[in-house]
Amino acid sequence: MVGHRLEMKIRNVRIFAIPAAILVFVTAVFPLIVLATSVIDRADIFSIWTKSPVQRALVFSLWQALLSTAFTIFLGVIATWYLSRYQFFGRRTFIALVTVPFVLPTVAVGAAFIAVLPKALHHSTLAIVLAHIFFNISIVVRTVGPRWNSIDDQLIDSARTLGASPLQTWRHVIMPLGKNAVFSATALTFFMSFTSYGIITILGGPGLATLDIEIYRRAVQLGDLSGATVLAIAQMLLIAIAFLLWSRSRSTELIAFRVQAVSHRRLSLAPKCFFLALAAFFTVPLLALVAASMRTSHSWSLSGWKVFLGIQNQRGIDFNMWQAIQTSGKYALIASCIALPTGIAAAYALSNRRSSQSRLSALVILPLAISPVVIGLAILITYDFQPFDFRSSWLLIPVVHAAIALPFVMRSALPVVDGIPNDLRSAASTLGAGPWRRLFTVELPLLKPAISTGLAFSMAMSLGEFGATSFLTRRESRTIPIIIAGLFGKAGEIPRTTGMVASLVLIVLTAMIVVTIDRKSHI
Amino acid sequence: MKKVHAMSFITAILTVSATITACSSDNSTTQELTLIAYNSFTPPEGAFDEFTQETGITVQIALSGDAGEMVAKASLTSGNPEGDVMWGVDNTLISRATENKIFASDPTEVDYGYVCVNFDIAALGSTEPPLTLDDLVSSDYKGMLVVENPATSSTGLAFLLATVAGFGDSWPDYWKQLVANDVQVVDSWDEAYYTAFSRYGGDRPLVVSYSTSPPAEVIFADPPLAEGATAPTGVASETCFKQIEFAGVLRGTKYSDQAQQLVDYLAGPTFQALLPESLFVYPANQDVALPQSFIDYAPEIATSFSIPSDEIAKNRQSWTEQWSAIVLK
Repeated sequence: MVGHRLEMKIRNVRIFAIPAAILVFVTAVFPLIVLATSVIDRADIFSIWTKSPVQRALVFSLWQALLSTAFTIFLGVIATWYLSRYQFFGRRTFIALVTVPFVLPTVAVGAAFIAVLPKALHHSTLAIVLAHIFFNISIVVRTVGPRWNSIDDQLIDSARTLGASPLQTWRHVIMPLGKNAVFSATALTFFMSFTSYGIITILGGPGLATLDIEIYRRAVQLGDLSGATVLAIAQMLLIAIAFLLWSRSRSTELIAFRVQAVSHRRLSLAPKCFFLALAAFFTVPLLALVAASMRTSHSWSLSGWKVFLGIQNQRGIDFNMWQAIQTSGKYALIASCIALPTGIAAAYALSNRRSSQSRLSALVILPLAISPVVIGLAILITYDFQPFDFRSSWLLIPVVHAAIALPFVMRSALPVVDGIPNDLRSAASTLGAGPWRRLFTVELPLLKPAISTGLAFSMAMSLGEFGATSFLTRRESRTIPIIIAGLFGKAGEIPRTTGMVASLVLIVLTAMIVVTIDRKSHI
Repeated sequence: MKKVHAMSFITAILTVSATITACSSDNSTTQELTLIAYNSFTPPEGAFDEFTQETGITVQIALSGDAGEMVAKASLTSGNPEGDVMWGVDNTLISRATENKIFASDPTEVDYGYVCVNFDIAALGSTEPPLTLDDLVSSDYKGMLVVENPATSSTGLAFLLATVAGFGDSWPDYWKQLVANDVQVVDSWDEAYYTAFSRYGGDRPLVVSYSTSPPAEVIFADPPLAEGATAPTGVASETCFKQIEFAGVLRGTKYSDQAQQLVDYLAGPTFQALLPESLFVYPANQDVALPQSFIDYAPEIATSFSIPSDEIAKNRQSWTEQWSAIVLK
């Protein structure tokens, strides 16, 4: 009997992917189809690729993504090795430190990088690569760390005893054990760098445009919606196919990092210096932002802070900090309420099924893979008739945010869901627990780490989102990133320092949320 | 079994949220009009109070990205608009708007401003500030100018148009001279002004900005400027391109009479008087007096460049591509 019921359960579990599929279909796939059928001029499907700005953008996208990925993986692998195998002072802080940038608002981080980089490096490929390392190194740490963390010390010791040199041990023992994870991290890093938008708009510049920037330029500056849509669909298909192939070979999991290192080895001088340099790399841009928030053209001043906090009134600047924080917080909460159950349910559908995993992974990445301006236009043209005229509804914003956060929630929930033993569920049923009781007493407590990580990710992604939000905002409900963009659009000392303050507040707010919520999953 | 319950829970959430959305969009009545504007549309609090008192209509402001994004959206939704009135389509975009039949009738001129080269007085020191486009290619200003990329910035486009209007077919030669004079190009106005311009830590004392940037610098000075002090920046007053912004009733609104009332209010004296010190533009309404900050600190622009908007629409892409080939290489 029990065996039969279990079998039923496994067959039905697929339906848990439905909410996620609906969310992606409603926010990305369907609108894009509607947009494509109404604006694409067939001639563009082929001719667009012959245009030189498009070719340049394609080449540059690939080039900077390759460079960014190579450096991120190189530094990330070294950092991960020490973080997962050694115990040292500041280790936990460091893990938190590298994880925070991944979900930080790009508008604010861009401002921080501009504040710290020497002039000669502004708008260079190097600046873009540095920023991508800053953002994506956590992918390596979080993906590869748990694998290496679980390698038994004895294995390495045996290899050494049997005469293997450190290099040979690395090549024949350590790398093979982390290979799949490194491969996954590489693919995800490449995807994040290839589709990078916010970073490029701030640190890029003439001649340093990616495909996403070219899509934006076509749609907005040239009014060439047909060309922009062709490019957006091509990019989306490319990424979906890449994910399909890649997920088939292996799954990635952004899983919680184990804080207790297996080994208690001490760091030697060289890795200590490496970590000091890396820590500086992560903190200096933020300190520079603090300085910039108090620096006018000739002197130091707290006016930016006073204006932001509403202590000092400034004619010509009109915003309410509390209203902005409230709006941002409200959207983040609603986005999480949608993304969390949807993402965790999807993780159930995928749990222990490698075959459907690749298809669903490729599907949920779609909202992230489409240029925000195209998503905005597509949604606009799709939901414009009663009773589905959602265009004027503020709810549209958190729903889009939820779709963007979905892949991260799903991926962080998957290993946790995978780890819940089936015996435990059957035992609970056998002992007479009903479905609801089982949910609240068995399943939910075990899901806690997945819920906290997913919550952290979805709230942070919503707080920092700019592209889609700027398209759909009401004046009385502006989010913090929208306020920042508005302040940097006015000439003068007060708007500039106030903009820096707002960027800093957004970074600190996001970092606090991620660290507080996510900390629970570490222990 | 449990899973089915969880599933229905999720469905319930989705249904409820869909219902909320559907209901909220049904509420729009003639008591409320939606004004679509670009993100930097920041009239002061209470700017529409008088309109509401006179007509009983409240005004919702929907921000729609920058002016280019706003027109892209409006072109797509032409005939079934997101709002009733649109503010801020400028003369570089207006023919795209009319081509796509965004407006129900000819839009009204609501404000204007000038895109000009600004200079940092302190950084120039004893060097005489430039006045004309020709001055900018002089060796006195070598390595001093930063401009915005016309492919990505409307400010940059306006400056390119100034040179096209000023030099006619030989504008590419002018840009070759600017390149030889080490002009710097960045993607957006805020990058040019806040990272490259010498006043904010950059090394370029000349920047393409607006003729009203000096009064903004004065209003936003920190600490406030002493009485009668000069502005920290100035304007090369013969390098200017005139930008005109329009507002109009959107085609497809159900409330076109009331929408027209709103457009009249936007062009009327009460609202127009608020424009200079909040949007840093000149009111189109000639009867409106300028505030003291504009009288004291915004230079009078006696001559400016302009190009008919249909000509801009026709040549925009080829001009920017030609420009890229010369300047970005």
